Amino acid sequence: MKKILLLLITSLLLASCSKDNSVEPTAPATSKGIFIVNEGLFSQNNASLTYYDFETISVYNNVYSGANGGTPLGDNANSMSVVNEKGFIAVDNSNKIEIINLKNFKSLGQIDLGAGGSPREIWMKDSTTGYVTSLYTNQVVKFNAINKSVIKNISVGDKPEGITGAAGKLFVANSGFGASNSVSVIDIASDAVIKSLTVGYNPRVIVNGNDGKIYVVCTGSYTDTTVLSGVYKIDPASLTVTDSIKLRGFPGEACEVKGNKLFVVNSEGVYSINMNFDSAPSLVIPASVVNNLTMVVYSIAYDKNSETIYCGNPKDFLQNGEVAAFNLSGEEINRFNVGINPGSIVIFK
Amino acid sequence: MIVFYFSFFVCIAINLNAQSVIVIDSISALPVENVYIVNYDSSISSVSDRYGKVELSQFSLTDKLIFSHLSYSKKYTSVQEIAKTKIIYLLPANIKGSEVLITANLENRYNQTFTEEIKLTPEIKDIYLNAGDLLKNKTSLMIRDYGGFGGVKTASARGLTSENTVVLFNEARINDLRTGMVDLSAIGTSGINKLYFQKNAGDDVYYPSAGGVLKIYTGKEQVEENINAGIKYSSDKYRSVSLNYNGGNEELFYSIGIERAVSSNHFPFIFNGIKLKRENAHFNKTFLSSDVKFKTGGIKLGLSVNYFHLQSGIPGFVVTNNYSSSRAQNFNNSFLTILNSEIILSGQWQYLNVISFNTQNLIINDPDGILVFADSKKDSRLNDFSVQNKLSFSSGVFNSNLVYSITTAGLNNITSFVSANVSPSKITSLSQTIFSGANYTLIQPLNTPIALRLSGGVGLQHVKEKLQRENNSKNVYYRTGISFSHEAIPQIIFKTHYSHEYRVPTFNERYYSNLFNHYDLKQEEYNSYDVGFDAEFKLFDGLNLSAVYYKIMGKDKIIWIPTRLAIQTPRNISDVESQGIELIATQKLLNNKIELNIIYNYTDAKNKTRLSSSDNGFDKQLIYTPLHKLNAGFTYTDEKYFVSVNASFLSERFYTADNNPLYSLPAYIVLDISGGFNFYLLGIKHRISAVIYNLLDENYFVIQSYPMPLRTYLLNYSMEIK
Repeated sequence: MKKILLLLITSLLLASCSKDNSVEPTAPATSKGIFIVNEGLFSQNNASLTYYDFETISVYNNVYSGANGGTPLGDNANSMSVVNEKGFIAVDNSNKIEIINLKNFKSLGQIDLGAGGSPREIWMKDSTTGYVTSLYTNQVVKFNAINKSVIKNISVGDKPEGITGAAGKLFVANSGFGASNSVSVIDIASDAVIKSLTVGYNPRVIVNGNDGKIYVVCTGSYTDTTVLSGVYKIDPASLTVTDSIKLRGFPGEACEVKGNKLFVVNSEGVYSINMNFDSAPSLVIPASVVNNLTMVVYSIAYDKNSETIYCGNPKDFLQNGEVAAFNLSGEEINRFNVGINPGSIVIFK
Repeated sequence: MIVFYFSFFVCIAINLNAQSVIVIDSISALPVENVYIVNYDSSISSVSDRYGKVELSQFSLTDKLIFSHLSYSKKYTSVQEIAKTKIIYLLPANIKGSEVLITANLENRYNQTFTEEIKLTPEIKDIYLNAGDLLKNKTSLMIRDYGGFGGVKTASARGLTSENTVVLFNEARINDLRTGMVDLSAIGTSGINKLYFQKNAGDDVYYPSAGGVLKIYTGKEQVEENINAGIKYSSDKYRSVSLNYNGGNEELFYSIGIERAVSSNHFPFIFNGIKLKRENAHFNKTFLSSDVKFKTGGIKLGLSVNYFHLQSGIPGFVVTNNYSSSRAQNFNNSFLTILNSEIILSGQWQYLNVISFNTQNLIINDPDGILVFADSKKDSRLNDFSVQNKLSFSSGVFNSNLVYSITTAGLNNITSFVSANVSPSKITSLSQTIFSGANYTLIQPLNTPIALRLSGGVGLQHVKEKLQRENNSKNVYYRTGISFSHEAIPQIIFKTHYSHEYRVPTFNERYYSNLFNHYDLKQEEYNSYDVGFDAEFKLFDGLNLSAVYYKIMGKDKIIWIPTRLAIQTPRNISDVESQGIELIATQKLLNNKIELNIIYNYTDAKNKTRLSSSDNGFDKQLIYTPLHKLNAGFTYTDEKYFVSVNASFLSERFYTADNNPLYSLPAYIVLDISGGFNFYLLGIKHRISAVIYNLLDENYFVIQSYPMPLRTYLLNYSMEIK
């Protein structure tokens, strides 16, 4: 009966069929390149992974789905950490960490964080152990990367986002969705919170500086625009906040670049901040250059070998985005298409 | 008003036995009193009463009759003839012209806009449990369905969003001020008496509306007393009990209905190749409706009181590794009270008044804090009070109305679950509207063989809202339409309309976030026109056809855009253009026992904003808008049995702005079948029926990440006591 019905409306099907028959090119075995973690659209289950190969200068979209029989990566992939040619992808709304072989993009399994697990950022202690912030449980989850199991849940502050490790400690940025201003410090040996540091409101991004310091980017309050935002410096040895610099415009994603500088993204574009905090931040790449639809820069990464800045362009957040590459002077070198909402860029060498 | 009177009298005529008919003025559609009816040998006579009703019991079936009145041309007919039609049209004596055209034009009067009427038989109510499922299968409306009996269902038309379709419940607008939409899964079919979808607001609906008007009426007007009771049970544990009582006499009608439904809504679906059961989609609802209508002389009063209680899970989306993505619960208690008054001031003037009060208490519990930002619980109350005054004038060929309406509303706590505001501030709103509409009929103007009706309306709405600061907007909207028929083919009424409409931003759109200031969000504006025809042919037992082409050009469409701070914010960012074709055909056969119907929509709705050269969303189909939609149905109904088969087809839909084929919902066909029989026991009419939804076990989605049920079964039992 179903076949008869299908025949009856075949003309409509043909008329409505407008599928693009182009096929994504097959990605080569990876050697050097960058991975772009595309969030996809919230609750649409269309997160994806893009790979840009430095040697072939080619971009390959949907590499995870292509290598795993069409299985979608999941919903709202937020970030990826790399260790020993394995990628650990925090897929937020799917409550899982997806582990993949970065050479062939094949899935090596998942770590299921359970209902509400909401993984955001991952820090890998080594190839067997990792820590991930769990947004809605207000915890840091310690996991075993080999047997893909949860080892421990550590309670931290409200709505934890960024995480990094230094000097035997974990530093966790508790965003509070704009209402919190703390960084939790966890002793890795004991997996216990040993201190809470006060920084600016809405700390979201944490960067390890080559100077041994921890830099926390505080986006500012969502409800009180008079609260200033900026970057805070933490000494991991003394566990104190040693300095800060104000930066307006809801700063977020950041990376360290050559010359002792931090490149920080805000609503105006990419600002350069001297890591000594002894001069005013300066605009290096205007947002309109990266994204001339909605003037939003969504992600940033720095390749020290080529001294290239990569910026994620989500366009209007409703369609496939782009990544634009710039030199340290802010001049555009290259631009290529990626998936929807490129939220995280990871250099892979 | 005219529509109501005509429909009222038609209903009376149909419900009476063959021994009475109704006499109606063929221009004004009003009943005619004191018409003298006599048989040819003048031995027997009768006179029509104030309702136009004439008793025929004193005449014999072979009698030929003459209808006469000083103000009307004489009419010659027979008892046999009028026993079939039950209505007699009299032509005013000062009108010269073709009776064929006049009669056809009369039809076009109450259907001068393109209107779909859904016939609500007991069998239809057995199959479709709520207004959303009914409209999805029986109209050209696009229903966004989030899955299952209790899944949210909102209606939209012609490629526009649901906020653009006005929903009137017993003449009171019930679109939620927060979202602009109405969840049609909350309205059970058991209490509905009439249901229309009017594609253009026309000269008789004063609300601005680019997406048409959905009219829902409860309460019957019948002198016969009856009680209907029913039980339903489905394979995914849906259970409901309903009870409806109707009664009255010639001056007073009353009805009361109650429906209780409980469901685990644990329906089966397939995701990633695995068969699963939907979680957290349970609901428990009560719908109580009561109507009292009183009329005497030139006054008609109606009171409708409705109570709705819903306690349900909010199932959330289904994505990889997250089959049960929400533990949130929703509680909704609403009272809707509507008082309608109609007063005939004179033979030509009438005053109508509608007073409505709607209070809703909404509580959202979200232990995971996914839907609700700062706290795990949100509690809010939305009240709106509205008074609508309408003065109507009817001279027969010219009808007009003047409306003044005022609506005041208040939401006590902005931190409802769709808002990112964290301070529980209050929103107040005051809306005032003045509208004037009119239509004018020309029969054979300038000796042309056509009947022509011109109609139009213009309105001005002022909206004042306050949340921390005041926001004012003034908007003018207008419509015009022409319908005509030709003497050679009076069965076909050609119609065309043009309108300029707008939509004021909803509370959520204007006040979602106090971080990204969008208080000054502009209204959406639409210019639209349509052209087509409605036709009725005497082919077998009747063939009705409707074909319409439309085009809508929208400006400043509000789109929700996620920001780099992961907070969505609405912006007037888009121009859209939607055009399409709507075809409806209904054929009756076998003495009206068989009905075949087909509804086909072609919708080409595109984004017409190119924000930059790299914007790949330009000129792409709007998300979730199918190019093709087709419903085909077969129904057989006789005194004892009924069978119904309905097939629904929806073509591929994209859910990204650039229509990336990787992100599309595939086309699907869903087949529902039902059957049942009636029998009498102890003088009571009983009916047992069964429905199989999605007979072909199609795995499909209407909205990405919200699965629809696989094959499910429903068993009904009902009885009617007269």
